[in-house]
Amino acid sequence: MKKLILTAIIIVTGLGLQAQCEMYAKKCNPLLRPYKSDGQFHRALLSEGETAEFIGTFHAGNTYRIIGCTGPYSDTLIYRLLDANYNIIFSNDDYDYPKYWDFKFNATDRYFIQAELNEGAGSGCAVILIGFHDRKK
Amino acid sequence: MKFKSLNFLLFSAALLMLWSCESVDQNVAEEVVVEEAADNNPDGAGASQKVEYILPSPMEIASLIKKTEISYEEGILNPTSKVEAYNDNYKKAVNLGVYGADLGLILVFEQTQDAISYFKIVQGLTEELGIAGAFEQSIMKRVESNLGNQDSLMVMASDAFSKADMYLKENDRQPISTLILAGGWIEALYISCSFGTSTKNAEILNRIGEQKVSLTTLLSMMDRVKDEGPEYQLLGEKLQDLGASFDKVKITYTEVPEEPDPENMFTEVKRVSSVEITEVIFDEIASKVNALRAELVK
Repeated sequence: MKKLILTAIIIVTGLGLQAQCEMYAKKCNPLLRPYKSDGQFHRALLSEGETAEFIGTFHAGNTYRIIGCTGPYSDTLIYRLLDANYNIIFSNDDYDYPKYWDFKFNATDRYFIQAELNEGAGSGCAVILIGFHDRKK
Repeated sequence: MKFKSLNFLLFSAALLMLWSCESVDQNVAEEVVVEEAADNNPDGAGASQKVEYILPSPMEIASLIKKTEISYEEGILNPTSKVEAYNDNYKKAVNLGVYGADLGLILVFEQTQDAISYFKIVQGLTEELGIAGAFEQSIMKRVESNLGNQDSLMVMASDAFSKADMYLKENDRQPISTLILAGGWIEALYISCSFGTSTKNAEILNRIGEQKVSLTTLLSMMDRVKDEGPEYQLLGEKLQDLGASFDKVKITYTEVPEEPDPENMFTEVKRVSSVEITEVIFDEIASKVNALRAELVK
């Protein structure tokens, strides 16, 4: 019986967490338009004070939209874009925490997206959505 | 007694359901932590980090190829008839990525006569892999009614792959997600190399050279799943060997201050890159990519 209870706990907990991250991603997905999704789902479960780092390539000549979403206690996700040398290119806390920002790149390189929860948010799911556009903005 | 136990079980489940909707337990959250970021952090700041990797989508690489204004080549895609040979999850996942990249090329080059058959193959493989919800029941009807609308078809395909990735990550099937991405990246590189071989177009060769950056990311992703089985380990080793050839490609960067445009919520990142890839290095890369791709799709 203990095994059964434990299994139920694991299943139910997993379902709850899954629903959370998916929910925020689905909520923010319309913000991608007119950009096309990169076909991936980037997320990290965070506690306050923790930082998620998403490492990827952006291509010269393309324009990208980076969207940051979170929940459940705050819908404000702090996110930053850094270059390969860890210089901050953009931080949304400089602009009153917009949910998305567009970037055009002239160099193909590795870039870092850092995300963290707003002060007082406790814990939650940080979701980053990325869309690309092959035309100039 | 049995009734009491069942009640207790249901009560526990309900309590946990409520609790899990309200908050994220730190212990469970930590299970998603995959790697400490110390090595990726040149200035050593921020010790408490969780790292995830992002690979360029095949659709994106296909659009980069299209920008070089070369013509579509017949016979470059993995034939749909080969799908019957993919009878285990490893082969299904890798080739879901392969067919996804082929679909990207079809859509970017507006080869709509092939779009329906590749959409069907991709949908079939997601179902065989038990990935629920990636394709709506009505997707094929929507594809057929949007055959003349390249943008809509690309959005449908990108969204389907995004939903599949979401399902896999949220159901603790990250290795399958990594294989799909690896298959897609390899196929996109194979297609690029085919165009590069037939045209020796400098811009194409430069675009291929730039994939040195993405390969670094893919190698990190493969390293996380190397213990899933011998085929995962072998794929990782072959990609490392490819990396040895990519190491001969030189990429230099010139720093230029970026120009934010807050009114349009837009920043142009002005630093520029320059790629040096000789034909000899390209041929070496293309040869390894061709062999790797042939192995994956056989």
